[in-house]
Amino acid sequence: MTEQSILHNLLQQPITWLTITLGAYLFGQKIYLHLNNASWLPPVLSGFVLVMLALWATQTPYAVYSEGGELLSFFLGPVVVGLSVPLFHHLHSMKRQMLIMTLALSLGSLITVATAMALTHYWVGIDIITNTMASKSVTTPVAVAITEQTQGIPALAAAFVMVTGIMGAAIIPPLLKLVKLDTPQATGTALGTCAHAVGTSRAIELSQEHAAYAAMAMTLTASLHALIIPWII
Amino acid sequence: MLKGLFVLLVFLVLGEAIQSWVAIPVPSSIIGMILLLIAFIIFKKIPQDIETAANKLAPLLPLFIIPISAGLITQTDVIQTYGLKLFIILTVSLIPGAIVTALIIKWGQR
Repeated sequence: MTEQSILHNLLQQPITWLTITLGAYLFGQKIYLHLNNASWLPPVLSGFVLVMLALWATQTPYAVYSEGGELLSFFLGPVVVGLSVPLFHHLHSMKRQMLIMTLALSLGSLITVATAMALTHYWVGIDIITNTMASKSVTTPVAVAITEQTQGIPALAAAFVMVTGIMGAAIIPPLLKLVKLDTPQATGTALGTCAHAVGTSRAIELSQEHAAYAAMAMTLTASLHALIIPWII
Repeated sequence: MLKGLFVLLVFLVLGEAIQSWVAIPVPSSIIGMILLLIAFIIFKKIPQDIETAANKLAPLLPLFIIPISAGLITQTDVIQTYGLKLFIILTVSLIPGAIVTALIIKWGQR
């Protein structure tokens, strides 16, 4: 075999793309540590950019890539089932605030989603994109699972979730300070509700109390949305 | 760790079974999560193996997401045409949500 056909052959193998993805993630993690955990460049974003570059440079179709990629995305299922662990802990430690939290995060997150869907409907006007917007406020594994139920586009959902998380983590704390609603409980809950896991990691940087409320809000929002949204759309 | 992963998978399969049996649109992984949560509530605790497996898997989430995100390469038309609009929509829609959430929490604390 010539060198070219060896390379061509390798680029068709799932294991090659699995390896490239893992390498891209590790490299992304290294950059992240190097930048002192810069929230605007999480490993998932840099890893994603590196994989995209590799796909683009080798002109590999996504269908070929995803045979290898699926080996990793398969784990999203068990990760979602495992969310029951933090949820159980939160239910236990925050029993008394449960009602008010549920009210706050269901109204807050549904308003965010409704605003996004309405704007997309009038401004973009493509139903499949509007439907995909519905899952933008929840953590990616749940968003992908919801999108599969609502006939949206999972890749687009993952991108929406990423943008929402990064922007939410950046603007929610100063925004709430501006309108004088910035108690640790309020800011933490808003971060977890509107900016899911990225918001929660921002909350961890703020204080332990912020973090507890954010983590609770994030898991509850994800479960609520997964239970409600597929029925509406 | 493996025992815990096994239990997570069993509940995932259980969720899948219930979803196709009852034909509800809720994702099978969420059904599995809720069933496992109910089991924890009944037994009033989380077995160590399951806790370990869940805690080891969760930090790897970004790695599991990359392959899905890379599917964006099939959506370049959408991004080129609507990318900026979608970015603005995603950012602006955060504002009412965050304010309403924080208002209710603050109101509840009084």
